[in-house]
Amino acid sequence: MTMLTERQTGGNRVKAEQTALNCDESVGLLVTYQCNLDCKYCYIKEKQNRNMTFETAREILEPFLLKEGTLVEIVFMGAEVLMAEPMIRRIVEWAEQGSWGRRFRFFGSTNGTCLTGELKQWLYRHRESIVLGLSYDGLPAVQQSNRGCAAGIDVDFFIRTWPSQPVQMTITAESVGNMAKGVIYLLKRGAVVHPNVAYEEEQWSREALIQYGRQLKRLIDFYLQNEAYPNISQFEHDLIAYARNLDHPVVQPKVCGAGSGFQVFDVDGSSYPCHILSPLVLRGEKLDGIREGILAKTQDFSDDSCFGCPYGSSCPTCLACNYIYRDNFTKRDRTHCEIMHMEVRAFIKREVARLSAKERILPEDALQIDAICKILEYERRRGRTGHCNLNGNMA
Amino acid sequence: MGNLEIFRDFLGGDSFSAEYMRDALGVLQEDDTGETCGDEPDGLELNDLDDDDLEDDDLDDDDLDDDDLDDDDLDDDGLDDDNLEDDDLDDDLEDDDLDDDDPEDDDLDNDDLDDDDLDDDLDGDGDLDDIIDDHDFDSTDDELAVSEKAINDMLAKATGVERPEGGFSSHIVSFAGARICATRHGCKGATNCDYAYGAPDGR
Repeated sequence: MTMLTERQTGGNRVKAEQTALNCDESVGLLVTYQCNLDCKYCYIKEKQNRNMTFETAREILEPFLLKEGTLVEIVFMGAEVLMAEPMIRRIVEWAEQGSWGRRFRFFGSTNGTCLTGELKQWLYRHRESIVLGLSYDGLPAVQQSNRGCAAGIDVDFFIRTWPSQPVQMTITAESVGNMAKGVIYLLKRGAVVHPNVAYEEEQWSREALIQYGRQLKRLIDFYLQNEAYPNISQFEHDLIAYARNLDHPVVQPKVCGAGSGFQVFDVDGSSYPCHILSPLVLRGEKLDGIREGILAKTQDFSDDSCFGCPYGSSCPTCLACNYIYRDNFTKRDRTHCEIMHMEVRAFIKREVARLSAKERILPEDALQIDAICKILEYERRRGRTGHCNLNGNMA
Repeated sequence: MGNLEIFRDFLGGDSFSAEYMRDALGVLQEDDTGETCGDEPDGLELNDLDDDDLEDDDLDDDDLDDDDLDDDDLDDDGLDDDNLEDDDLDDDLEDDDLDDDDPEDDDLDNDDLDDDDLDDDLDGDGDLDDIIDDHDFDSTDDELAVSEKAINDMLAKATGVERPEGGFSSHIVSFAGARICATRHGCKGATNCDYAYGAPDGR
């Protein structure tokens, strides 16, 4: 598998044609249902005192580690994974001491509040086996507002220990007005930033969406003056693919591996498609449906309302949230759709500025320009492009 | 390639020297803050900052202008580029002072959160299609609009430039690295989810 080329990503810092060290299998361990925070946007409505034992984890992992292969990724999942710190340490050290059929890597996301000095030392020593991704919502004030805890989180430790691992920054309708500042704040601290928009359960208001556009504009301005900073995923789009999709509509792929290549083991060792489609989040009939294999019976994951949309080839969706909030794996939320369109438009605006500043237009630049025009025309027909009135040759 | 080699690449290859790691480890060994889960710093209670604290009648969207993002402002918080120097980071690790994260820092304080940002209608009862369709994106608040002049200037530059053979049709769509997962959920490792929970470059 290769990463996007520089041309495709608009000159960002993703390494061109980089050969990925891709894992060939991934397995999740639901290590704990506990969390010490109560984030506004959390999808876990009821935290429970359930934890996976070391013995259960060992029994689950042994066959995966013994199997011949290139790399297995073992993902600690929760709630807050470091609430299960003793078990995590034990299982990592156990895996390190074993003789296996493949290499392994542990990963966990954390809110960063449980790090002690001693735990930092342990993590630093074992950073070749375990990567922790910090979830931190940008400005400390926003982090405080969203999650009730900002002080005492050692952001720099994460940046320093795993410099390529992005900091996960969740953006809500409430906090969107500080999105650009939050991204820039973390970038200037040296982090790679992965801003995620939280929607699904509630649709964003018109004002929040407009504010999101403003924030994207601020980030365009920032990146135009600060090209060296790592890109954010909002500005990574394959415009040429989108243009092609306008002529040749694509069927939305099942982009999530939940239930097909990825599984999560609950604290008792039972298997689920992902941690959201598990007792961590689900109850009652919806959980019964998952246990009865409703996901495996679903073949078509395309949303009818998305037919003809050129962005379908890379539009994110969460099957689990579709199921929870809209009773159907395929039914995407509309906020998601609007945000995707805004991000494409923002990327186009940034690309227009970048390409306009180039002294020499290369053939691939010209194709990118053709793609931009084609997409803008599509957006204009949808009524989204404002006063742009194209006057040139369309591809 | 062993785990060590993978992570050497992951951690920055040659620039992440053994000496650097040793030094950092030494520092870390001194860096025992004794923090525990849920511990609060002195003088700060969880939820100290309630909604009222986050509202500022004196601020509107215009207050969040580009000037706010100037380096100088961030410099005041010690977040300027100088902080990215290795030496400075070393110092940071030796220092238990977590002021950088202090939500009460002056320049990044709650005044940055204005009424418009926090008082949005979040009841979710609006039909988004109506909301969008009713909105005049020709108005000046569509900051993502591209001007006709910019497009035409760009097109003029591309005039006469030969396009790659096959044009759009020859383009191979790659999902690798594409933003294809709504990832606040912490799922990672699912197929085609290179960005799921922020997978590092190259994985």
